Amino acid sequence: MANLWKKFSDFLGISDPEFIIAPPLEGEIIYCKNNVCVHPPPQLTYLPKHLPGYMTIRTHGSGYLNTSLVLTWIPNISLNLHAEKDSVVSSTSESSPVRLDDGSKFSIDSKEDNVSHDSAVGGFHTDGDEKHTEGSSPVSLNVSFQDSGIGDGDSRTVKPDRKSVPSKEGDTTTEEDGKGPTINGEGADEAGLEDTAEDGGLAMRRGSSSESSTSGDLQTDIMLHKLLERHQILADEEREENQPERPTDLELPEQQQDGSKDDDDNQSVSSASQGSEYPEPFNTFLKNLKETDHMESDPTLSPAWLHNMMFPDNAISLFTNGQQVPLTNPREQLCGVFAVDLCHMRSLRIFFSDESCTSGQFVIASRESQYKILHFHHGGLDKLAEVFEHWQHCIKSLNRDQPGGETTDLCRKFTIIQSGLKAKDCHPEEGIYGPVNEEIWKSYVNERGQVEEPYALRKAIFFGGIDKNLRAEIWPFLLGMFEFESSEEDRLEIEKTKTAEYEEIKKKRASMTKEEKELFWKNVRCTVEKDVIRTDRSNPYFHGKNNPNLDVMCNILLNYAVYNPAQGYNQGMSDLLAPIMVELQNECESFWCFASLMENVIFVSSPKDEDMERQLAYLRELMKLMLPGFWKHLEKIENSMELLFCHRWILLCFKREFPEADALRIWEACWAHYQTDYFHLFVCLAIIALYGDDIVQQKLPADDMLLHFSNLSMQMNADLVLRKARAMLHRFRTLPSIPCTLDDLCRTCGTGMWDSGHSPVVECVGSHEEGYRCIHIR
Amino acid sequence: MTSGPYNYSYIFKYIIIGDMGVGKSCLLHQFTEKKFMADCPHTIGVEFGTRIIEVSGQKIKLQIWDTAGQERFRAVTRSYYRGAAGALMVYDITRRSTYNHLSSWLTDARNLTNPNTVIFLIGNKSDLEAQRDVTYEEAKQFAEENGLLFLEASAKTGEHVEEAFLDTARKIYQNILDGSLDLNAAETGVQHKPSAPDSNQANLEPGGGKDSCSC
Repeated sequence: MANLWKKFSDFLGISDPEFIIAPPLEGEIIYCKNNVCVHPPPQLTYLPKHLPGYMTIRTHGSGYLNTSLVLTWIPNISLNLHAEKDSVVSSTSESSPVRLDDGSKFSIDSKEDNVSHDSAVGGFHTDGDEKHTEGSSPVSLNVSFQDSGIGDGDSRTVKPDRKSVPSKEGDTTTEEDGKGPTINGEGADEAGLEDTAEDGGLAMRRGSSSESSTSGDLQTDIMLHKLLERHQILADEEREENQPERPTDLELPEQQQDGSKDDDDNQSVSSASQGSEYPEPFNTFLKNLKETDHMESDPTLSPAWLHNMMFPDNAISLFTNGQQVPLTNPREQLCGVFAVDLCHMRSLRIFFSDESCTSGQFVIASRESQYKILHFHHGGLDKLAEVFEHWQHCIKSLNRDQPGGETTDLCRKFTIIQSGLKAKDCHPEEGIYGPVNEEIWKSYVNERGQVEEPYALRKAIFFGGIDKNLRAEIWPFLLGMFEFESSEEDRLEIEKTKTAEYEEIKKKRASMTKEEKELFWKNVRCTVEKDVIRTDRSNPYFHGKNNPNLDVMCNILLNYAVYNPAQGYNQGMSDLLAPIMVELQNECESFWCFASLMENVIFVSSPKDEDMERQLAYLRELMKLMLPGFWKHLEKIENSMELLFCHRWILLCFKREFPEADALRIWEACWAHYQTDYFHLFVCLAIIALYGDDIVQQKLPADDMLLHFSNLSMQMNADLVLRKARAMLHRFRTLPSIPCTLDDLCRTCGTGMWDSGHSPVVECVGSHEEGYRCIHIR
Repeated sequence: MTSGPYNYSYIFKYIIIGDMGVGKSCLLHQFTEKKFMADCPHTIGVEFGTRIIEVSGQKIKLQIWDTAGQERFRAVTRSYYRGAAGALMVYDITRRSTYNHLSSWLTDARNLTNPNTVIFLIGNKSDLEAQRDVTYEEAKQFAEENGLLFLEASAKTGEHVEEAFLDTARKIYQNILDGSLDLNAAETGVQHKPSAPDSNQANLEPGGGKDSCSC
């Protein structure tokens, strides 16, 4: 991107960007990047985890102060849906409206705006094609859902597309293999990413590259035009310039399946007739798309609606005529074409998730705390940051010359916070440990089956987590069902005892008197039964009607209430039990692990006020100490000290804040009890540290804070949060002094908390109940 | 495009309260998504739903707080009542116990909200007529005695769901118009967002001319 700017300024005969007076030209695409991922929420189980798409940022509006940036994200899937060869070829021959010569076009209304910018994005836009008049939808192939909805023909093209070349593993054509490396700039660094399967199945339509020979032309328009034509990411600019002219309509096979090294993510070039078979989730996705066609063909629907150019909950407002219209469904809202004017957003943030600060997330927050999160798995995010910085710079220098105006306002919107975690800010032992796998696990266990260095093992788990296959074996240790020091023999004995004990509990439950039964039903059973059938039902283990595992879950919870009548059943328990059942796949063992979790692990407080209050009291003290800026904000606003936004985090140990795989990594880090029993509180701190800036900056009141974090659930980067949490724990441990209010927090941790030899001075802060004599008063 | 800062003039805060399993989340889901969610996970803490509706030509954004129903969460749930303009109090017509608890829910709602809070009683699961445990008449009488709006509804079929949410909003709006709800008072649960589009925004507002070119 820097190159582009350089060229841009060179073109204008300006060498120092300081002196660029004019902002980028109207309608100019200043950034584009393929395979920017949107992650559908896990509830939408029929969707893959990753939905790659094509993102562009285009300037919009004329005049100095009115200029803004419009971001558009188009899912690859919809690009392919409209891969009608003919229309593409004919349309690409026309000039791509990188710049609109008629400035007024943009200011008419959003419909037009959407249309034109979409066409600008793809460069496939066919002027004057009136075929699809209903809903005034553009014909360009890259404008997604409504096309498929309006013309039946369009959506039908999908089918032959999928069926014609049923590709299986290794079903690749040599031609594409050969072209692969040249086309795919980014292939090399993608190996090992989980999303290969999904990404690879998508073929992204791209235009004729007949003009590629003009590569390197410094004329901005042409260059941009060319970029558009190729859907080439700017980061690949150099490679692109070296590329030979490519034939049109190449198709990239699903290379990730036959080696995964090459390309899961790239600008695969495909033609309609050669489209490859989608992975199953996408077939369903397509089917679902088709099912919604009827709804979408409603001519009264505005293009803004169809383009999903809104955050989900604004949907209804777009229907100005007050008619009742079908609500769009979450799938379309979350996964359809998305476009916003970045200048009207509340904040834009960039989170780097890798050391080199090229990959991560771009988070757009609307003024109503709705989020759109675009994942950059394959770099390019740094370029985006550059674009924004440069843009901001342009606007600022412009505004210097403008008297008055809302200059600061416009600049403020582009506050980019790069909250990447640099190595120096991490826990010093960060990155040393991978997940504990079979080999590592074996290295900890001696011939008698004892874990010889439990502390070292817990440390390894704290940093690296546990390989999924080993959870059934290691979790019983972590959760306290088995001692680490127990031998294989001991454990067989324990298992026997525990099995017998469990049978006793079952018997006890079965032998209740009629009155007891009634009371039990009223206090426990009716709640349990209601919750079991709505716990983790999207997990295959609990999926489907009359799934026997639901009965098992019900039994464990009921038996637990018999075993521990004081605690009985609290909502949330089923959430904690479900993953244990899935991993252990054994009722008796699950029961005992769950019982240990409930009793021995401090962080899982029963939702009794005093337990939660104790957690929150510690958390408040930690915030005061480690997040003073946030704390100051809390002190200023009403009702903030309840920390309502943290309740669910603590109660369910972040289970509803992160997708399950991520949540379990957090669980394991907490269960490891490495250096602290309260790691979950450090995770809370990390989330606030990473995602709480908006709250302070915008002085959000308590309600909005809750809303803010509630909207972030399932959207946060677990890896980053964990690293930050470990870093904060490290920082805490090296503090020269801690308040006496946190002394207990350290004392209960047992050995290890201060194993570094450093021991902080405990200082009395004097906030004690009357009559309490703090031992730390000097 | 969601370009404008606000495309509605008011925000009303609602809370949904009632015993566990009466279908609070399902009512919300039906209202915001027009769908019945069979395995809707039980709410822990609070969850949110929003939808923009129109009352007398005014666009109103409903910000709906869906709370946990279990008795043990009551203490926390009480914190959510603050500044609610509307409270939907839900019971399950097939479970009398959920109806019997209404008076305690109502006490909370009255004590923890302001006097203008509109309380709407919803008897959910009206599709399960065969299992009915609470008659319409007695609930109607309870509602009248306590000055509540009342409807039986079904989150499953969608029957009366829309009405319950919209009628509540209409009542709140009416209170604003006749001055009984003072927008300047604290914690009314109503925020007024004067829609004063700047010039730039006006250009971007959706739904403009029908004659836009389809390019």
